[in-house]
Amino acid sequence: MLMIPRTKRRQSMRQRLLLGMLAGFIAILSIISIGLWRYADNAANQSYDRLLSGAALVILEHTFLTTEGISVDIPYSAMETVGLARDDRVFYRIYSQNGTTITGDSQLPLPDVIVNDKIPYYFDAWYSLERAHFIVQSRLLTEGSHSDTVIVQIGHTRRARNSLRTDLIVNGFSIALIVTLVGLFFIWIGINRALHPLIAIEEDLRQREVTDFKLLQVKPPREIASLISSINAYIQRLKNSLEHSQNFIADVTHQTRTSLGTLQGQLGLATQETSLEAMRERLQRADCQVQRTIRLNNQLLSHAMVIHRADKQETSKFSLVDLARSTLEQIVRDQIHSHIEFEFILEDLAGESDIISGDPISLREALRNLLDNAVRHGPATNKIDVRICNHQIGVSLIVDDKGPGIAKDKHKKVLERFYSDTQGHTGSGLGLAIVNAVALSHKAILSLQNSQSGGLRVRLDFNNGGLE
Amino acid sequence: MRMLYIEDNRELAETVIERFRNEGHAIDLECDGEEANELLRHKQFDLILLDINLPGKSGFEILRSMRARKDKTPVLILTARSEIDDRVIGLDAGADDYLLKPFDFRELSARCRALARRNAGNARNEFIHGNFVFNLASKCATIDGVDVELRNREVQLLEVFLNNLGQVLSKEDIADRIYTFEEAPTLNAIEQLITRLRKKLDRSPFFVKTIRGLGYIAHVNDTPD
Repeated sequence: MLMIPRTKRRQSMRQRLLLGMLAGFIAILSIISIGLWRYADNAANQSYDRLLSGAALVILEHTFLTTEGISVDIPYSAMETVGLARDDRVFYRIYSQNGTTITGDSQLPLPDVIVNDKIPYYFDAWYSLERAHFIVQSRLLTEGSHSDTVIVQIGHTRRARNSLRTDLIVNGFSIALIVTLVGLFFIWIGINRALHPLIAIEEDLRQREVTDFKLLQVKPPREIASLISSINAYIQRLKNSLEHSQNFIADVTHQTRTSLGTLQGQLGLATQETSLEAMRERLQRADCQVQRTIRLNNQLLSHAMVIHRADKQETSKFSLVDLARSTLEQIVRDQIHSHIEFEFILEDLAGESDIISGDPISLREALRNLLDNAVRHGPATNKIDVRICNHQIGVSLIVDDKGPGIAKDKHKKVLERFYSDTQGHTGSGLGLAIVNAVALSHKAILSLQNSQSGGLRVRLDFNNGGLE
Repeated sequence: MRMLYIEDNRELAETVIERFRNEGHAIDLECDGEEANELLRHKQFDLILLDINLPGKSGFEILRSMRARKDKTPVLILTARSEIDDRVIGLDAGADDYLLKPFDFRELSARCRALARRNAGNARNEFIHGNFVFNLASKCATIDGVDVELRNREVQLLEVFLNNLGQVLSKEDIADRIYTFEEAPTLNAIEQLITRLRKKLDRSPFFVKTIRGLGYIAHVNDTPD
């Protein structure tokens, strides 16, 4: 499928409100127009019908029954009333009940009902190529014992009626339109006033430098107070996070430069040595420094990796026992020549209670760092135990060693980056920081304790719901 | 030993090549992945050092096409890519070992020797390591030329360990490989068997380390030939 790039501009809140209002007004105008049309139509018809009815009555009053039949004397005023409308043509016909035309136009269209009594009947019909409106009214004439009914039909074309209706509609609609426009104008002012704080915030944020983390200083109306406080909280977090990474970069810079500087120093001294023996010693020290630099670099990358992976939040379900076993195997292989004794202990693990949800790559990195620390800081005859056991709501991973341990008052401190208990001689100060970061991303509780053999015990408590 | 080093960083390659040449090995350098792949189709080497990020064709692709051709030359992957994923992919694709850059040359050299020795042992039907020789055909072991008397089970156990050097084997793994179902040994019996083998091979560079809770890992102490 062809992707159409979305270039649709975001609508402003002001536009949205105005469009909403406009739609409302159009709806109201439409309803008004329909009502107006019906009212105008009625009004025009009623007024002209009265004229027709008046004329019909005048003519009927001048009809007489004589012995020769019905005679009519149409007064001039009757026709004058109907002919008030200048452009209209007037038609009439007077006839008896049996249909004999007494006077007038015998071709006029007849009503489709039988007219009786004295109630006038109105109808529209086509006549002489134009739509015309007619009235039909009858009168019973009595002369002695003789009686007959005379019927008057008068009509005129609709021009005057239509023009009156149009006038009424146009006038009424114009007023409604003016009211609408004035209304919209006031709404526009109202919206602008209501949105003013938001627009001010928008301006403020748009014109800011990227390094400007001042909190928004507006007095927000009640409705948006929580929005403003959320934005301010976000700015604060952003500021903290930036400071955090600035500190981290400063620390990393310091550490790597120091490390490389030391190396450069050792190599510089080596080139100046004249005796081969002294030069070799310098080079050996440089070699050690290279090892430390490599380790620092690897730890930095590892730290960056676990942080990055925590941000990506890719999790899967895996067995903690399998992961711990394979990691321990790897370390054992690397330490095969040493006299360090390793032990893998599973304490009464029930069923699948070691299945946790997390990122196995980060967790392996954390355990590798724990084991690496234990090897580095412990004696040559160290004993390192990796223990997995259940706790009430989950599973624990415990690493014990026989090393010197860490004084209780420093337990919190060693979890920070670049804090090394051995004052930078062998540690990079990142190992436990990596473990801490992984623990945080797995919502595990990291605790440092004393191991039974006097060394350090590092404990990670995962919450996977326990045995359930 | 005839080696091929596939690496696009010439400065790193130079230092490695110079040291291998000083150790008396014939080592060639190839910088382009595509060309290296072509070269490997026509020429046989004893050992290949393979970088992963290469112009032309990646190290993994080279390795895969080698293994697809049934080329069993030992391959050691040298990678600067950060994560375990790479290692796993490398080993799955048929690498024999891996080393992360930057590496210590002594470590690289030792790993190369171990790989070459393993390969040569399979070809010669003989596992030779320092003063220790084990003939895979006659099942005879000697230390300093003196026969070591090994019982059948001990020979089987030794073979299992030699085939899985550097790998952790649980007691159950071992029992599976040297006992039939009917024999059903106790785990205690395996411990005793291992103790006896250890004692008999005490003076050899071969040794078995115990990791309680996991099993055993066999290793041969490396000494430059």
